[in-house]
Amino acid sequence: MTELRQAKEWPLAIFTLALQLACGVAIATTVAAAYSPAQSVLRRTLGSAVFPLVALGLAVSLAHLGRPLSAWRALSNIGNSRLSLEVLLTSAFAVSSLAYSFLEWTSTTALRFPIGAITSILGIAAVIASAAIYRIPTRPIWDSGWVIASFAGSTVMVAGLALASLWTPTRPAIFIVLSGCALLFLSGARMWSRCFQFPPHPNLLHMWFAGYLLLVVLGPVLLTIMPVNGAPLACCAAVTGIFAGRMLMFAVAELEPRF
Amino acid sequence: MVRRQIAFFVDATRCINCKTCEVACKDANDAAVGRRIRRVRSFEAGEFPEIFAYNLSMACNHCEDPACVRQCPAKAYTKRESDGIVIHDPERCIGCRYCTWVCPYGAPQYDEREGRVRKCNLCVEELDRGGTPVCVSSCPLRAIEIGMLDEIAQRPGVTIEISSTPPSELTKPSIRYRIRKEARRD
Repeated sequence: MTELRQAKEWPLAIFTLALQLACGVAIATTVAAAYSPAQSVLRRTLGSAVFPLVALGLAVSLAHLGRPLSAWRALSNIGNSRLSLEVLLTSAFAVSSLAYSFLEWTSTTALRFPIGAITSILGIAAVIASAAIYRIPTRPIWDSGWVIASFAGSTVMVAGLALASLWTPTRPAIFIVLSGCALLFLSGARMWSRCFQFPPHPNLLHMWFAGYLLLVVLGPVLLTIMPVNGAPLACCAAVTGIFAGRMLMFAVAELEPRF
Repeated sequence: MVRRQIAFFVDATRCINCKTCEVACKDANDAAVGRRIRRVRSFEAGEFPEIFAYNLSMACNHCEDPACVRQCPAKAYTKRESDGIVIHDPERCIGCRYCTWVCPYGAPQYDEREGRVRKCNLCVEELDRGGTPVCVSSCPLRAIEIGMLDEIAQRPGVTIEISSTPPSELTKPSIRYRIRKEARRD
């Protein structure tokens, strides 16, 4: 399983996962607060967790760099480089999420909705920018649009699961979770099908793919079976599945023959 | 705006895959183990009984539209206006490796030891002193030359469209090959 061992991009897998988790949670807590302004302990906890998640992602992403102390230079080419744009938008998201998490932590209601909305929009922009990084013709397995579907699916699924935890009426939340699940499943299945074009594809790779798709589907299933207490379990399954899928995304790029 | 683009000319009909250019480049650039700033690739093609093999020596192609210059977040790459050489500044490199993803030719090589990328700068110091790059001077078959792209492209029988290389429209590489016609894409 050389390809999976060679997947040295774990900092990027954690970074993209943390970014999408933070964005999904920011959207869910902002929407939940708009519909039911009464304070709840869970919403306060989730809202406060947005900034630590982004900060964790940014900190871990430094491990990807050969020279982390020069990371500030990544903002030097904003007009042309997609990577510069991603760093800029993620930094803006981090600053906004710091304000949002502070408001949630201190249970301050003033400005909470506009700051929550700005944080969510910046989060969506950062997720889109991070997906755009992988639209490169030299890596056809990434350059098909499914990476954007996967990143969007993760964000939507996390937002839906957070809403399912926050809202008593869970039907709309389940619908959102199912939408995210469908995006993740389709993108994962497409990636899997592409792997067959590049032999050898070892059995462990197929097992990993099967496990990933199973975990992704398990979230909505748990939520449907146990609408009241299923959300935490569904969250665990979804986050584990998304992380497994992200590691696969980097691993399969090694399978593809390159010049 | 580049005034006049410099380019490589590689005569693949002469190349015998001795890898002298590769070794000389590695030595001149003190490249780490496993990192090959210039690489000779060997390809087999055709169908029995009409089979053949050919060798392509390639480093950075100093492309006319280089993806590394566009996408490097730290602006570690610049394209020299006077001759279009794509120069990598290791001092600005942050080791993000995005250039190794976007370059179709695998030219930027990540050096784990230094935590940054290295690539062919066309021995620019030597070139500015009136010399030639080490790959050119070391080739025992005289299969590698440098010159101006507009002149090299006019030579009879040269091409950039080779079936085993990435499509040239991606970055417009400043290299031309003389190669047997069966290996061509055009």
